[in-house]
Amino acid sequence: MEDVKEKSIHHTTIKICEDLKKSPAFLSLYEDIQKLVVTPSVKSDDFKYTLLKAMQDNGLESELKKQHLQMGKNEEKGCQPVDIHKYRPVYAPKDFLEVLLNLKGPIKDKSQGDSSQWEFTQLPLKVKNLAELIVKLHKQCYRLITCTNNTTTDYLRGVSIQELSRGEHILAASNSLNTTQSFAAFEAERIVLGEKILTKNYAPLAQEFLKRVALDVLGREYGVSLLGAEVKPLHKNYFEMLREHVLQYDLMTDKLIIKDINLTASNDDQYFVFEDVLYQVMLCFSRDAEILKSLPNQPAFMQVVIKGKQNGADNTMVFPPSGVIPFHGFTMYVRKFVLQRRARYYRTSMIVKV
Amino acid sequence: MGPSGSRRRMEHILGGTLTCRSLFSVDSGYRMNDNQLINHFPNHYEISRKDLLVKNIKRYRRDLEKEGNILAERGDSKYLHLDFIPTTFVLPADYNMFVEEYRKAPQSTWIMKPCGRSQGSGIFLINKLSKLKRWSRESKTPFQQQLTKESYVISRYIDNPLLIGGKKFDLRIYVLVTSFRPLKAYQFRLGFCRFCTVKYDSSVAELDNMYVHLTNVSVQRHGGEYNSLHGGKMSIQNLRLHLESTRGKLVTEKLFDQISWLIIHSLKAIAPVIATDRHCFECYGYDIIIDNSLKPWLIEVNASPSLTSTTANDRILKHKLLDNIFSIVVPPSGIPDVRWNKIPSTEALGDFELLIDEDLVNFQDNSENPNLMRSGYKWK
Repeated sequence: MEDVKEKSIHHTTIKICEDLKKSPAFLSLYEDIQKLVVTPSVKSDDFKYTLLKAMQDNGLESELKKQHLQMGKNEEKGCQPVDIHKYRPVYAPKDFLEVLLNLKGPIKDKSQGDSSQWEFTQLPLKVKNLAELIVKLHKQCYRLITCTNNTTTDYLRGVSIQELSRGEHILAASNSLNTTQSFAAFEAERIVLGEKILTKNYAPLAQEFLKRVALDVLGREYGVSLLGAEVKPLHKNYFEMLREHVLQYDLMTDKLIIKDINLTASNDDQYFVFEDVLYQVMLCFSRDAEILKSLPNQPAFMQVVIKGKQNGADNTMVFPPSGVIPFHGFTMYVRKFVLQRRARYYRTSMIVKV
Repeated sequence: MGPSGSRRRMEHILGGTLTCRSLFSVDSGYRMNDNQLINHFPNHYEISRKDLLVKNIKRYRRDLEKEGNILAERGDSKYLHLDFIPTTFVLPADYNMFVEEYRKAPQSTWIMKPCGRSQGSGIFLINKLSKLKRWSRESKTPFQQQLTKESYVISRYIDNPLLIGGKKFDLRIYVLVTSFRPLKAYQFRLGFCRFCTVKYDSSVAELDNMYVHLTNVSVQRHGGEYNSLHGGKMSIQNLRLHLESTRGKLVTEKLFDQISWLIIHSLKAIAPVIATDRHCFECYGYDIIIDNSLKPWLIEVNASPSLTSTTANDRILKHKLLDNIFSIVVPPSGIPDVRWNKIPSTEALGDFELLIDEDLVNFQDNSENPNLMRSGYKWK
């Protein structure tokens, strides 16, 4: 019995290794590990242990896990088409309000089985003014946070749970934070903690942190960490190639994108400055054939024959190359990432869309 | 505001610059009573006229240098700490000095602005001395006669502005001064960046395209690209967020500290020449450009910043601005009173932050250390 189990683990390992080798980021990961091996922290007499230790310290272990996770995700997506009708885009405060108003209560409907729904519930809050309400909410939050079962405890290593769940200072609206000084101190503390978590380079940990603290300052780094969107030379080259494509040919969908941007981002007082960045990213996106590969249901795309050529497999191409036909508000999905550098921006937004 | 009896007293709380000038002129014979306030200082042009602002700042630097003040320290012939306005000369008066400076870097671009005008009118860029000469020949009145008419300032053009989305912008920051001697000034936390509608291009071909170079809404709104929903305005909080995430928190904080610092020193520069009157307060609109090394430059100061709103956000901001100004200038009793010490409560400040109050500074610490002063009232 033990033997069978051993064998199965062995097979899985081989399979994972094979898959890993095929992944585009493998080369750079391999290089990073090789570099690590020559450092003095890895000793030849206890190679296995010291290498593992060094990988942990340098965040490479998490990198490996992430790679594995991503691969797993892609496979899952491939075989389980998601019912997207349940989801609706929210890209304006107006939409958000609508979603909030349509929430259904957590009342279990027996006929629908296990799925519970959410709804607005009127809670009697015995407060006389806004200040009392803040105190009240703040206490509620504290309770919530301390109750939360911390699933990532294993990974907290350098960061203690106490640090993370010190509830009384999670919300900025707390009474003790009225003065600018104490707020600054509070923010500085959060940033230090936030940076500490970033060095671990592990997405679930970053996620837990973000659930509790909204930090504008580290927003970019957290976005990258959560999505595993580090930019390697590989990605830069790929982005450059897409940019070349933008220069080489026009797509009919470009007009849709431009119209979409003109109707949304260009009119928004927060994003109008970035309309150009948005164009560039969206035009690249529509030419990115990798997107189509990752899409489970092969959505609305067309097979078109190149103008003036004979109808045949060689002259047929998918249109648009990404397989995604933009719709109203499409661009607004990427707007949140406009603060980043372009190549990285592209990678981040691509991951989000897929 | 206050009991109905105080309504008459409030009459004079607002007046245009012209009304104020005539009110304070010797022959008006008008004396304000103790319960009246007015929203301008009699000679605010010392800061709002481009030539006088430059003159006052130059004098301020010289005075500090004579005192041997460390702030006036020079390195490489430039002031290290007080170098916050672009090199500027008044034309025609300083023409020879300008030519001397121009010859040091003949490739540079300069910007000509009429001293007394606003909203970007009469402004143009030059990159050749010959262009300036041609302009002076072609303008209806030659230099000599122009002395009494319209004078211009010529400033080194900041040709490396910080760009966002490829576009140039400047900052509009509101500053309230309730007294110059002692200096009491407040900086409004809200403000906005005004963006050009056209991408920045420093090439000679675009030198005459004012949609590339001037951020004034009054100029930009005539462009085909103008969007009336946001009016090309982005909030300063958004700029901060953008800079914090692209350049880092520390440098962003340093930039905003430097902005507060230059505001304080521009006010100190004019404090000795302002006719101070306890009835007066004034709200200034500071125009600041940030270059691509994140150094802020003071471009000009408006004593009557536009209070009309071009967008919904603008209306909210200006409403708050006025509301906060009134709550600062009117003492807790609700009735203006010249005998009040002009130290408002923290609650009354609203979205204003104390930049400097020399009464409080002298009270807390009589040292002249500017860093100490700044760290106390940090501009967030």
